[in-house]
Amino acid sequence: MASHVGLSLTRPYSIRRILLTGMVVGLIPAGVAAPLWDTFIALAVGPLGMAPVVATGMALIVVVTAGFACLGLYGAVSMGWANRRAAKGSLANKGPQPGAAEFPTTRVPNLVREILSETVRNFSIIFSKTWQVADQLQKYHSFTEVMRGQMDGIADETEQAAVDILSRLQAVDQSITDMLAFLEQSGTSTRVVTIIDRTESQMAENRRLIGEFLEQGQKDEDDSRQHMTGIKHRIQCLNSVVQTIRDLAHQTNMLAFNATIEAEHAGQYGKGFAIVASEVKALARQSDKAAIDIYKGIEQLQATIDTGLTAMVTERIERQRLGLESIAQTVSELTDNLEKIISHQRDVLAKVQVESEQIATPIMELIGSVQFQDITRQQLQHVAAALQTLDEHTALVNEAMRNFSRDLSIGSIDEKIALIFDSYVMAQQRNRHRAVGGDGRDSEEDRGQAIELF
Amino acid sequence: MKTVFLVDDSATMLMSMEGILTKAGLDVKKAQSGEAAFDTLKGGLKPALIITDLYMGAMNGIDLIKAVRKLPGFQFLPILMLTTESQQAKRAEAKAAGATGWLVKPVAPASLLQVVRQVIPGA
Repeated sequence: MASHVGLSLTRPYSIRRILLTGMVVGLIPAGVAAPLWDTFIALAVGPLGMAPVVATGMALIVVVTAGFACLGLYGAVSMGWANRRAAKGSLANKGPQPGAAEFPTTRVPNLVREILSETVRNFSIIFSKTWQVADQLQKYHSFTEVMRGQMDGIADETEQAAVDILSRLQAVDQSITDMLAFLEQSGTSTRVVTIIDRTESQMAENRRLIGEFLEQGQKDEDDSRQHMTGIKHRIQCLNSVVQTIRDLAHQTNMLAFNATIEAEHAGQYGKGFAIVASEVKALARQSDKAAIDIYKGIEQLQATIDTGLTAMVTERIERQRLGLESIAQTVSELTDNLEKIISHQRDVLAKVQVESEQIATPIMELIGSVQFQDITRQQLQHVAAALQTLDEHTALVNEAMRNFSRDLSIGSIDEKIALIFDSYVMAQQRNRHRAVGGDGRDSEEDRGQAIELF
Repeated sequence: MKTVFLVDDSATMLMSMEGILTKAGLDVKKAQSGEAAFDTLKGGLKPALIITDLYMGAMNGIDLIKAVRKLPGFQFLPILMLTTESQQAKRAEAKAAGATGWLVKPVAPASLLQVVRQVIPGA
């Protein structure tokens, strides 16, 4: 190993050269690794976070330092061993040894060159990886552009949907308002009230007329009966007259009979008287016969009045009465139905008004709830602004990685996050931000009333 | 009929608020920016109440209130701030600028109407 690294194991090495070798082996790689470490931090902290970066870095530092320390120690030990060997060799041989004239400084630069070449190779690998990361970061811009476009689209679509919902709700509300107005007008308009009042008046008049007809009918029936009674009385009077006539006829017949007997007693002087008596007897018989005929006629008339006319009048009056009662019943039912219809209409109107008031409240709440769209839009705008900030920061890091010689002020991602927090306007945004960061407390500054009059 | 002047850069907020206030029997006028609102007021509109958003672009709600208070006849006009902002510092700033009250979005319709009736007598 010693010959591999060009160390002579027979020449003594001075302390100065040992220390110089250690410095070359340890410090120069460290000086090269430092800027590489800074660049790695700047590249990797953002995407990966601090913890894994620190762990990886620490591991690399330990490995590299240990490696160089081992090399340095080996070199120092080898030189020291070589010193002892050289010392032993000078006591034994009292002279310079073959090959011992090689100056160790030619070996030390070879060691340094080896180490430096190894370092350069490692640096090239790191640089290559760094460039790959820079390329990836350059693509971040496209990614964030896509995300911002998506969020803008979401805001526009939710706004349009909210406007549509509001329009439809307002149309429903207007329809309900119009219906209520129409129903109210229908129930309370002058025209409707006039029609109802007139109908009720007509119904009342009909009932009055029907009552009058019934009364008149009863009166007519009574009058008819009175007339019938009068007729019967007169008939009875006629019967008595007829009886009187028959009596007269009988007496006249008796007188004529007596006159005939006296005429026979008078002999010849009574013949004329007998003829008169005979004529009177004949007249009496005719009178009696006429009286009988009159009596029979009166009886027929009486029978006709009793059975036909009275019954007919009574029947007609009864039919009129029944008809009028039927009409009165129908009118009464019509009046009742009309009152029921009016009452039902008023009930319907009252019910519709109650239900409309109950519908109005949820509609009003729905109109108010559309405010969520504005809140969503603002939150999306904040996210888009945060993506823009990240995009700008990534571009700066990318520029710094590609141009090591430029002194670019990238700034800390923590500062950018703090600026984003300061841009929040809603309590839930700030609380959510703190919760993600491990602080679940609500902010004191946000604990104000939702509605406050100054 | 009392007139309420709404100022907000969100179309949905303007529609929502207009629907609530119109149902309550109020006349509503609208503007979508602080500048447009200020021009309208300078042009002669005399509302009974102004309800304005806070964050609205170049001229925010607080700037609008300060400008309106300088107009003749607007020193005592009730102006409410309706915003998603919840910080006490902003609330104090609005009060100092001349705001009459502070409402945090979203505001329930019943609560909004109650506040409006408080600041507009006879509404």
